[in-house]
Amino acid sequence: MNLELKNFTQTKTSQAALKARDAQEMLAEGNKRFLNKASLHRDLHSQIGDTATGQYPFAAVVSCIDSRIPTEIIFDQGIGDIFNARVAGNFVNEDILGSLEFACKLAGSKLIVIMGHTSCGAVKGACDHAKLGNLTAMLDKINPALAQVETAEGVDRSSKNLEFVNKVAIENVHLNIARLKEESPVLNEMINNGEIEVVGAMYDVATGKVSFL
Amino acid sequence: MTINDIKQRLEDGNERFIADKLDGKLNDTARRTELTKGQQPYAIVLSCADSRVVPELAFDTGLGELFVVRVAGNVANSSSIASIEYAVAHCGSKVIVVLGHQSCGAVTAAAAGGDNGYNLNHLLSHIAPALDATDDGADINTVVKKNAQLNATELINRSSIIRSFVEKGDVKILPAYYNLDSGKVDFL
Ligand SMILES: [Zn+2]
Ligand SMILES: [Zn+2]
Repeated sequence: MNLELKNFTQTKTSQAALKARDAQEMLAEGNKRFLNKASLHRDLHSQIGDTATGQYPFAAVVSCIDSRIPTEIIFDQGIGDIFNARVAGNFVNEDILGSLEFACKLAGSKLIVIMGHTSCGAVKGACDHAKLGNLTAMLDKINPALAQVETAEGVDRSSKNLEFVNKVAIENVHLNIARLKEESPVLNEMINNGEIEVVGAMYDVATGKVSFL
Repeated sequence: MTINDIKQRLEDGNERFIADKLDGKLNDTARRTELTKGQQPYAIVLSCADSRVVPELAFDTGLGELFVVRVAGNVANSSSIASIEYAVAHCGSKVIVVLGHQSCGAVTAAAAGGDNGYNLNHLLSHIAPALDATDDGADINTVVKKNAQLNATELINRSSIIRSFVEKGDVKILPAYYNLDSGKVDFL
């Protein structure tokens, strides 16, 4: 294992040298370490000191609030590495887009990852048309993905059919990437200029593996 | 676990984090397998998307312990509220920590004002009440703390579900402040 990596904290210079491709590679490598029980034992204390006056995250991740998916742990990243917005069902709205614009335009992130996951409770709720308080409006955000996934006649479209649930979760990632490009002129311009890239991913809660879509 | 046990657990975890003595427990394959059946996290953290504020590290928690809702400025918008309702009503979480942090960029941008484009303006508008409630030119960290407190209240005001759990004493909301320079969490 690489000692340099272990004690490395992003700086303005190191961040500026990275491309979106590098950022994705760093996340993929980190997930591999997590899977192989080879997570780095970082000196978090010195990372706190190094980042107290500024952050230079190399990537921004939109993921679910699910307690089984601590983003930094599954990607084996430390303090100051990834900007992370989390909402049940990992969709984008004005405030999440605002957060991502902050991450990329002001804090210099190179890559946006929209990450769904298997057995997502929010997606299951949408499949079952659950209604409860503010949740009803939130689950509406997942309905377009539900509508997109076609099934043969007689196939169970409820949360009992996990294969269906996971297909909806993948579709939900794709639709939110499209929504991001449509609804954020700031990010769309950065994408078109080649300053950032957006990529989808799925996390498998049974294996711990992240697959980029 | 009682509400007090949970708060104690979070405080103990934060102490380990500050001392650089993380347990890093509950992140292994056995735990992952156990959790494929479902999750019962004992607490929810509403925190900023800032890359330096990582709730699972700051509280030294593993898989299945915390629901984490994150948006710049840790604001209680309708989707944060809905996410928290889900945690409280479906998964039995008992403590909600609304975690602001030192030198928050979103709070700083809100204080600076100006036009930041539709989405960022929308986000920063959630922080306006904290600016209104503090003196003009107040220190950013004073506004950050006020923002955590007001968003804690917002959870109760805007959600009848969260309100009823809090009124019954089944759920407690704790506004808190993360010190970027030490890693310490202060409950407000
Ligand atoms: Zn989920
Ligand atoms: Zn912040």
